Amino acid sequence: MKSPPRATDNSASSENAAELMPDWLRTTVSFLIFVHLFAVTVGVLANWYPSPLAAQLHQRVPLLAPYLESLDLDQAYVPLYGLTYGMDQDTDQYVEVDLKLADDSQRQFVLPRGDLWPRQRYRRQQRLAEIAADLVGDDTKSLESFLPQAIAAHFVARAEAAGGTVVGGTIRCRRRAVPTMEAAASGKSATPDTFDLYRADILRVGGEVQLLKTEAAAEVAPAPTQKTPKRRLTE
Amino acid sequence: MTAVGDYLRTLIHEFGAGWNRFWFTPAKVSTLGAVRLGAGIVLVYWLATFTPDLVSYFGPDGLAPQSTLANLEAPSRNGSLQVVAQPVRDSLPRPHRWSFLNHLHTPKELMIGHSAALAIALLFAAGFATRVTSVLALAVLLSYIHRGPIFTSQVEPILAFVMFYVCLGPAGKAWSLDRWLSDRRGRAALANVPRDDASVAANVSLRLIQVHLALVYALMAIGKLSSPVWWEGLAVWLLLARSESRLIDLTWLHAYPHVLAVWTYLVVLWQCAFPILIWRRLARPLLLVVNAVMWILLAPVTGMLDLAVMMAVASLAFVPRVSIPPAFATGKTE
Repeated sequence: MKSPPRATDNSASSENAAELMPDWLRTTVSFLIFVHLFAVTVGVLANWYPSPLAAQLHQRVPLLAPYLESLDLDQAYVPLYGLTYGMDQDTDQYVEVDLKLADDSQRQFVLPRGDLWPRQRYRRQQRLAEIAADLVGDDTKSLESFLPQAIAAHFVARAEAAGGTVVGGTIRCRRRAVPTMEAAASGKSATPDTFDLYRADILRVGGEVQLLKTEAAAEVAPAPTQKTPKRRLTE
Repeated sequence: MTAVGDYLRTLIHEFGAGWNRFWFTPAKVSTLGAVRLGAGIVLVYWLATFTPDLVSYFGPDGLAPQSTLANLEAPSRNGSLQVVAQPVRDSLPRPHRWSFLNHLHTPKELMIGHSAALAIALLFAAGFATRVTSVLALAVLLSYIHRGPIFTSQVEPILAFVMFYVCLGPAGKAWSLDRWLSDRRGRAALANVPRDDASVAANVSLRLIQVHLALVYALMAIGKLSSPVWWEGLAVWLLLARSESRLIDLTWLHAYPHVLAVWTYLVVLWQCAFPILIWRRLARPLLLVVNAVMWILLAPVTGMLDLAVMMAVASLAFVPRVSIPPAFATGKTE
């Protein structure tokens, strides 16, 4: 009697491996594996510098997009897991909300809040601030106000739930510069420079929170310079 | 012509044999069980950290109103995702997303739903009714990701694919309450099975995790090779100079630029080597140790503790067998 093949051992014979499943099942599983890996590959190619073919496949192959998106497999993996590419976006960003109350007092909120524990809570707020800041730009003008508006509305509601009446305020998406090694050596990096990426006045219109943008992205101060010229991965 | 025909026949035969060997050789269920346990613990932690912020994020006047997410879907819907800055593309909401949280509106409803989700995650981590709880736990994870994609970062996509693949195999046959209970009850069907038995389904699950993880590492490496800051040895400095992200301040290393450069190149080398050498049996143990060391070094610099832990869990898929401690071994051992 044949002994079963050794587990995860590549020396096991394919014949032994094949014996363990009926042909039809092995063929079906092989087909499903192939389709799945094809879908994952298209997901990567369609999200990172997509060729027209990859983009067409992603959009037109039936069920491909729903499959990838519903399983959170619609990922390029390159940008998120690169850690840093030395781009402007690869710095710390945060959102500041200053609210004026009817009694002339002020309240300030910052995202992410520095005292959040455990770390995962901080990372979520940090991510929200990053996305809000990174959506500011000439190419994404139609998107840049959505998150600041939601953030402002949230903090207005919080202030009012605490008994205040909000009459106005400002919201700013800001970026902290990354100091160069030379700046760190000269002790200039103790308080990193910050730049406004987006700034808007918070208005109350008929009970709704609305934003009136007061500073365009083009007016943003230049990002910090590293020793090497910055080259972008983005197009 | 005969020679060409013979060559093609041999090629096809060898490819088929290799495919069968790779995908259909039984693998130890203990490895898949250990991956399930690790992913389950990460999921419980990840979900539990939502508890204090649940209403702030998903409640009325929350930071992620559904109307805002619907507006942010536009680049995905009209195919213009490329205009969005790279680091945020993967976190923008996609049109095909579903979540049980979409149907919970009041703080009370949210807390009840969240408690149920936590209970499912705990049962999954413990390996109770694993066939059912693994699918439910995946649904829970995806629900939170789809409800709040703007809160997701690096750990969620890895956790999602690992949990998806864990669902496909017998993840409850080791390191689980299922196994412990079946041993206690002395069910004939399971009690006579060697404790660390092998299964083709476990192999398919583990192989999918391995292939997907190797793909992620390969893409990490490609990204780094396309960026000048990694070639010039500056990248690690750019990571540890981020005052808000890092967990410990190592900026005093500015005095040792060569150390920073070597560290940068080692990261690139490790990520280039992983997807290639991890398939070589001799190099695998060394690479897994290097992998663990590199993540231990990177986690405090980047602040990505969650990602470091999840990468370690996913890398377990490359370990041929994860021994059950004797204290848990109530059944027959192999």
